Amino acid sequence: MGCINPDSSLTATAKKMLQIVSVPVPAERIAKELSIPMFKTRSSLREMTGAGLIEEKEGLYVISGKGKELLNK
Amino acid sequence: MENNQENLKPFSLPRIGSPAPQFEIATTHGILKLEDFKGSWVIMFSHPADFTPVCTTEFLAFAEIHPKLREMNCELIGLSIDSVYSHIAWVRNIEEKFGRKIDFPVIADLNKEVANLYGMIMPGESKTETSRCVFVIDDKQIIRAIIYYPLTTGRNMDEILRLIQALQTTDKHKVATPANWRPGDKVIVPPPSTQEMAEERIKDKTLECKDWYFCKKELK
Repeated sequence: MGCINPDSSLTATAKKMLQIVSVPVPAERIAKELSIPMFKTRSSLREMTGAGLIEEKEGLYVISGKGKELLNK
Repeated sequence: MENNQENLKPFSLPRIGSPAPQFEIATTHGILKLEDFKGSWVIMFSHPADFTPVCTTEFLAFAEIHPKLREMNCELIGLSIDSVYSHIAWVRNIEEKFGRKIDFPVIADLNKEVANLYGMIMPGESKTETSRCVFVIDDKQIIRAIIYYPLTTGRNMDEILRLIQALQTTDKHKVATPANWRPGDKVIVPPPSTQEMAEERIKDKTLECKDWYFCKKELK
């Protein structure tokens, strides 16, 4: 989905996603809250966990310290 | 010589009933893996090139059936041997000139990775463009149907919709569908495989049988 712009800023969807994962949630909940298909949610979560903005624990996703920092910038 | 032999090597062609070959590739929706679509049916289709007329009519037609497909838990993925920038420019142009938003991902297969994996290039037609292929992949990522059309001929969206409806009906009710079947029509009961079953089948009053091997029924 491309959550992180080339200048390292976040897309609008990425910001919303970080807000949703302020508490640990499953991917299905994120898809539902953002009204996007599961394939986009999985792709975005992969990108954002890869960038260290979100952490995954036992199937639940939560914002990381780096994610909080970027969101509050 | 070695290079020539390499060029002659046949590319793989997925088969109905086999697992869909996996890939990870750049699309208009970012980097996607086929496995991201697990749990959804997928229609992956190729087109010869961006900014060409028949392909534009097809994109408009696919976009038109997209909401119906979504209702059937089916996603669309387009593909051609063009860059992601070309795809972005083309889908924006389609929206501007034809008023229809293309909101399914389009694979930018510049190095022909997925095209070769799925046998989408017909060298007798074109070595640089993908033909009009359709791969129906089910929610368990098994190839369920394959359609190939030549460069000159746009595909029929009614048939693609009908195909998904038929395959999902087969899965749900363990039946087959006759020629020209449409939702609501009677379905085919798979023929019995033993003599005993054949004798029982012909006595079954809940079915409409012409003979032991040819029975239809209504779906409730």
